[in-house]
Amino acid sequence: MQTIKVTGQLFNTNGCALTLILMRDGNVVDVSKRYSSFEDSHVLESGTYLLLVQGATSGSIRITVSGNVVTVRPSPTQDFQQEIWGRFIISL
Amino acid sequence: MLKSVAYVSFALVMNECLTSASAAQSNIQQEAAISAVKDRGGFFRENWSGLFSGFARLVNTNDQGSFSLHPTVWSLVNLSRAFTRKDTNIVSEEYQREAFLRNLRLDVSLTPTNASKFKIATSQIGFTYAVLNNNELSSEDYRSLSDIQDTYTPIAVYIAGYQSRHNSEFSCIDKFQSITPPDTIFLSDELKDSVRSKFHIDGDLLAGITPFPSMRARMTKILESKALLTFSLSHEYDYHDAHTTAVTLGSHLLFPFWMGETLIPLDFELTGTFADDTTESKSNLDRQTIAIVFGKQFQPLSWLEISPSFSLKTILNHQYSEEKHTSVQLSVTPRVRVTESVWLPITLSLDTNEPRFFGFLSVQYSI
Repeated sequence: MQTIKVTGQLFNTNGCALTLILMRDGNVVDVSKRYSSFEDSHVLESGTYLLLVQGATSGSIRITVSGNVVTVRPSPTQDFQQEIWGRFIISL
Repeated sequence: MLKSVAYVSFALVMNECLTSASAAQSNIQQEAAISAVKDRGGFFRENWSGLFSGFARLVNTNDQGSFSLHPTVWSLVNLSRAFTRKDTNIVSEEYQREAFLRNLRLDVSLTPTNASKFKIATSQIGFTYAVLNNNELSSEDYRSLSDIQDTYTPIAVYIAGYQSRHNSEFSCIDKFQSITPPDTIFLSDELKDSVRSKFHIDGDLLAGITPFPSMRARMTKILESKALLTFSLSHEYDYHDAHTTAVTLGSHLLFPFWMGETLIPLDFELTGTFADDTTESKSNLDRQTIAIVFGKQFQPLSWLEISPSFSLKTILNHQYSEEKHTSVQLSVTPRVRVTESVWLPITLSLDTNEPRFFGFLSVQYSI
C-alpha cells in the first residue's frame, strides 16, 4: 500500500467548484468535490491510477500529486486558470 | 455596467470593463472561462488579473476637462507585487482576508487649470465602500454548481473507461483530457458516436461532455442576481478660492430581480450634498440638496447598452432665486462598445422644468 497526497491551492479567488475522479483500470476508485483549497490523502495499492480534475474557479488553482509515487504524468504539479480540466496518471 | 446608470447624468460614467493585466493570467483559458462573468463587469470585482482595471476604468474625461481615478485600496496595496514579486498569485486565504480592501474604492477627480498655483481648479476626493459586493462568487456560490458537475462526471468516467477498453485511443483521450480548452477533435469518431448515443447528446458535442458552458451560464446568473449596495463620501475643494465647495454623501443600490426568465436590474441612487452658497460672501456649506436617481439598463446587443434614468433633485436650503425647488430630469445613455477596452457613452437628457434637450459625449477607456 502506498500513500499519495493530492493538494489544491487556490489563488486570487474565494473558492472553486472542483470534482476529482480517481480511477483504476476504467473503474472509479473515488469521487470527491472541493470548494476551497484542500489536501487529501489516499492509501492505494500498487498500480496505475488516473486522476481526473474538472471544474471552474474565478481565479486559479495549483494541483499537486505527491507521496510514494513512481511517476506522475504529464506532471505532478499542474496549474489551471478558470477552467479546471486535466488528468494525472499516477504510477505506484 | 449596470451601476453606471447613476453616474450618467454627470458624465462620470465608470468604465467597468475588465482587462487582464497580469501576463501570468492573460491567456485564452481565462478569457474563455470567465467571459460571461467578465461581460457582467462591475467595479468591485477585483482579482489579480483585474488589478490594473482599478485604474484603467478610471481614466475618464468629462466636459470640463477633468479626469478621475478610482482605484480600490486593494489595487494600491497590491500594486507593488506586480513589480517586486515574480509570483503574482495571492493564495485564497489571503485573498479572502483582503475583501475589505477590495470593497473600498478611492475616488479622486481633478480639474486642471493654469490659473491656480497648484495647477488645479477643483478636486473631488472621497471614497466608496461596497457593503454588498455583487461581483465576487462565494464558496456557497461554488457549491451551488455542484449539480452541474454531477451531470458531467459519468461522461468523464465513461470516456476514461473507454480508454482502458480501447488501448488505441490512449493518446487521443490523453490529449482530450489534458489540453485546455478541451477539443473533441482529439476523439475518434467511434468514441464520439458512442458518447452521443449513451448520453443522448444531440447538439454540440463539446458542450454536451464538458461542464464549462453550463458552469459559465450558472456563474453569470448567480452574479447577475446579486445586489450591490455602496455608501460614499466626497469632498470638493476649490483651489482658486481655497475653500471647500461641497461635501456629498451618497448611497447606491442595484437590485436585480428575476421576472420569470428575465432579469430586471433596477438602480437607485440617493445623494445628499452640503454645498457652498455662492451668493454669500463667506465660505459656507449652507446649500443642501437631495438627489434621487432611478435607472434601468438594457443590453439588447453585446456591444450596446441603453440606460434610461429618472432623477429628482430637491433643494432643501439656500435655494437660488432663479432655481426651482424641485427639478426632474430624464436621461438616456446609449453606450457603444468600440473595443474590449473602449466604450462611447452618449448621454441625452431632458430637463422637465425648462424643457430642452442637451447631451454630451464622453469616452471611457480601460487600460
